[in-house]
Amino acid sequence: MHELEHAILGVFKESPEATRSTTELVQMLLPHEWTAMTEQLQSMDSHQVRRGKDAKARLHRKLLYHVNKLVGDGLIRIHALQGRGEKRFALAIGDVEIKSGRKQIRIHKPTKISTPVDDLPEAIVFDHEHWLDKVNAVLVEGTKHDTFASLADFLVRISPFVNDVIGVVRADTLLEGTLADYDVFIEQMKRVSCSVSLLMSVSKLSGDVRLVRFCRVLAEKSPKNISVVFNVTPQSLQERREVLTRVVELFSQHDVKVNMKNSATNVPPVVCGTAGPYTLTQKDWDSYQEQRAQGMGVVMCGASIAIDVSATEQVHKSVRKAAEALFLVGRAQNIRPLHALGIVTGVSTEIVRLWNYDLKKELLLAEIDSSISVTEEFCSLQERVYRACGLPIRCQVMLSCAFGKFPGLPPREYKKKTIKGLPSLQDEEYSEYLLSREGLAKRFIADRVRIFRSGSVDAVAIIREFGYLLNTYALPYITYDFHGLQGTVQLTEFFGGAP
Amino acid sequence: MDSWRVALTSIQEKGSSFIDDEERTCIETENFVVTVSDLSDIEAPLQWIRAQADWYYPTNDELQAALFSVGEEANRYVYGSRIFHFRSELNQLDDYVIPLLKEHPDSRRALVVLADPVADDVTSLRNFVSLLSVWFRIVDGKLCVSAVIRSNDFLLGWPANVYQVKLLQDYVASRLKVDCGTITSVSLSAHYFADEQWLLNKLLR
Repeated sequence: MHELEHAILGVFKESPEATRSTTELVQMLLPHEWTAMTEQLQSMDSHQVRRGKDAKARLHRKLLYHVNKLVGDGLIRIHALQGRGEKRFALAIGDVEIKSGRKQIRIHKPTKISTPVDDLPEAIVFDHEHWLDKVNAVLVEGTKHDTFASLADFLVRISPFVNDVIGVVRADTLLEGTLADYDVFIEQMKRVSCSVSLLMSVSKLSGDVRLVRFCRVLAEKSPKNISVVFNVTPQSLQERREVLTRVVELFSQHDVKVNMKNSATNVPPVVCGTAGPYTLTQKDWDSYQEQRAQGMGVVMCGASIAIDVSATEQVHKSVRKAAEALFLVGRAQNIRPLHALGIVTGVSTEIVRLWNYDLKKELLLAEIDSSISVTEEFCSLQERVYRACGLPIRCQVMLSCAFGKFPGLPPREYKKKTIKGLPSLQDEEYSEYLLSREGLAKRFIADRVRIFRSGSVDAVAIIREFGYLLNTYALPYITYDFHGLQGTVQLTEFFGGAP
Repeated sequence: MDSWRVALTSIQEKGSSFIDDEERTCIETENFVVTVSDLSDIEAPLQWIRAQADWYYPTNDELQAALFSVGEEANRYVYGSRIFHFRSELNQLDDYVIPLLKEHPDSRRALVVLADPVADDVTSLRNFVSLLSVWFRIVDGKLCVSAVIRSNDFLLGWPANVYQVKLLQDYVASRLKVDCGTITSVSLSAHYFADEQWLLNKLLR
C-alpha cells in the first residue's frame, strides 16, 4: 500500500465516524504543498494565481488517485458530493488490519453490515445489534475445570462474546463441591448475560447423592439463566431410574423444566438457548475431537435468523436470503476474542430457524426440503468460489426451529398440547404429532420437543413417560414443562413410606 | 481483461478434459504462462465476475486481508502469515526481498515462497496453498513479478490471484521507489470447470 493511502486511512482511524472532503484531506496530508499553493493563490501577480490554481488541481488529483484506490478496495466510500463537484469521503468498512513493514493500521469495524434480510419482514435476526461481535452458542469443556468456581470464572470471561447460551459438557464432573460452592456458582451466573446449560452425563455419574443435592439447590433457587440437561439413553434411564426420579420430583415441585437429550439418536451435545436448540453435526463433532484436548470449548453457532413461515409464500426464497445474510455475517464476525480464550472455531453451523410452521400442512416437509436444498446449494457454491480464489472457507447453514422467546417474533399461531400421563402420549392425535416432530428432527440440525405436563405430579410416572418416548421415537431432545401442574404430591405420599 | 479472455480461449481450445477428485469435469492446460503488461484494468475481471451471478465473490478487502493479515492461526491458508511471518521467523518481503533489491537491483534471488512442505505436505489435508511463490525482478527500472500458482481455476480464481499479486507488486515497488512492470502468472494447472461453461461463454461473447 502506498504511503499516502496509509496516511489517508490514518486520518479516518483517528475519527472513524467523520467525513472528509478532498480539500480537507489535502490540507491535512500535504500541508507544505497546500501552504505554497495558498500563497500563490493569494498573490497579486496573475501568473502566480494561475500557477496556484494549477497546483491546487494537481494536489487534488494526486490525492484523489489514492483515495479512489481506497474506494475501489472498499475501504473508503463516497459519502456526498459537495458544491462544485467536490467529494466527501467516509470510512466504508472497518476492522481492517494493514501492515506495511513495521506500520500497522487497524480500524474498528462498524456495528452494522447490509444483508439481504434487511428489508425482509418475515426475517428476524437474533440480537441484530451485536451479531458481528457475539456468537449465539458456545460449548465449554467441563473437564477442563476442577471446581465450579473455576468454571464460573471462565464463563464470566467468555460471556461478553456470547449472546444466547453457553453449554458446559460433562458438568457432572464438577458435582464434588460443597453446597456453598453451588451457591457461589449460581450467584456468579447472575453476572453472565446469556443462558448457561449444564450437561450431565447420566451414564458416567459418579455420585447420585451429589446430583440430587445440586438439583435441590438449583430447584430452590430457580435461577432464570441456568438449566440442566441429562444426556440419557433408554438403557441409562433405566439404570439411573431412582436418581432421575428424585430429580424429576424436585424439579416438578419447583416448576423447573426437565431436559433430556437422547444420546442414542444424537451423539453431539444439544443445548437450548432463547433462540432455539443448538448442536454440532456428527461430522463436525468428530472433527472437533481432534482439537478437543488443546481447546477450552467450541463455537456451535455464530448467528441465527428466524423466518416466520406464516408470513411468506415462498419459504425457500426467504431461507435462501437468510442463508446469504448468515454467510456475510460469518465473514465479518469478530471471533478473535473467543479464539484467544481457547475456544475452537471453524466447526460451527449458522442456523435459519423456522417459526409458525403448520405441522398439519401437507406440503410442509416439501417446503423444508426445498429450503434445505437451496441452502446447501448456496453454501456449496460459496465454498467453491472462495476456494477458486485461494481462500478456502467454510459455509454451513442449516435449519432448525425457533423458540417463542426469540425476540421480535410475531405471536405463536399454534396451540400448545398438554398431556396428563402415558395414555395421553399414546393417543392417536399425540402420536401423530410426535411422528411429525420426528420427521422434522431428521431435517433440522437440532430440534426440541416440549411436553406440557398437567395433572398431578407423579415422578415415577414421568420417568416412565420419558422411557416410552426414548424407546419409541427418535427425538433428540425432550423437555418436560410442569407449568400446568396442580398441587404437589410427594413421592413418599405415592409410595406411602418415610422420606 | 483481454489477457484473461485470450488465455481462457487458449485453454478452451487446446486444453484436455479430465474428471477431478470431486467428480467435476475440468478442462486443463499444464504449465500455462500469461504475462500482463497493461495493469490499468487489473480489477476489471473481478468487477465483471461479481456481477455475473447470484453469488458473493471475495471483496478486494478480503483479498487484501488474506495477503497482509498476520496471526490468523485459525486459517492456515491465509497468505499473510506465510509472507510476513514465515514459520514464525521470517518476514520475506520487508526483511529479505526489499533490502536485497535495494542493495542488488539486478538480483534474481528475490523470491517469496508460500508453500511450506513441513506444514503442508500432509496427505489428509484437502487443501494445499495455491499461490506457491512470487518472484520479484527489476527489469529496465521496473519491478516485474512472476507468480507460480499450483492449481489455478482460471475462470473464477485467476482474476483474484492476479489482483493479489498486483498488491504485492505495489507494496514492494513503493518501497523500492520504482515503477511497476509486468505481472506473469505461471499456472501449473490452468483450468476451468465444464459446469461453468455458461460463464465462459458470457465472457467470450
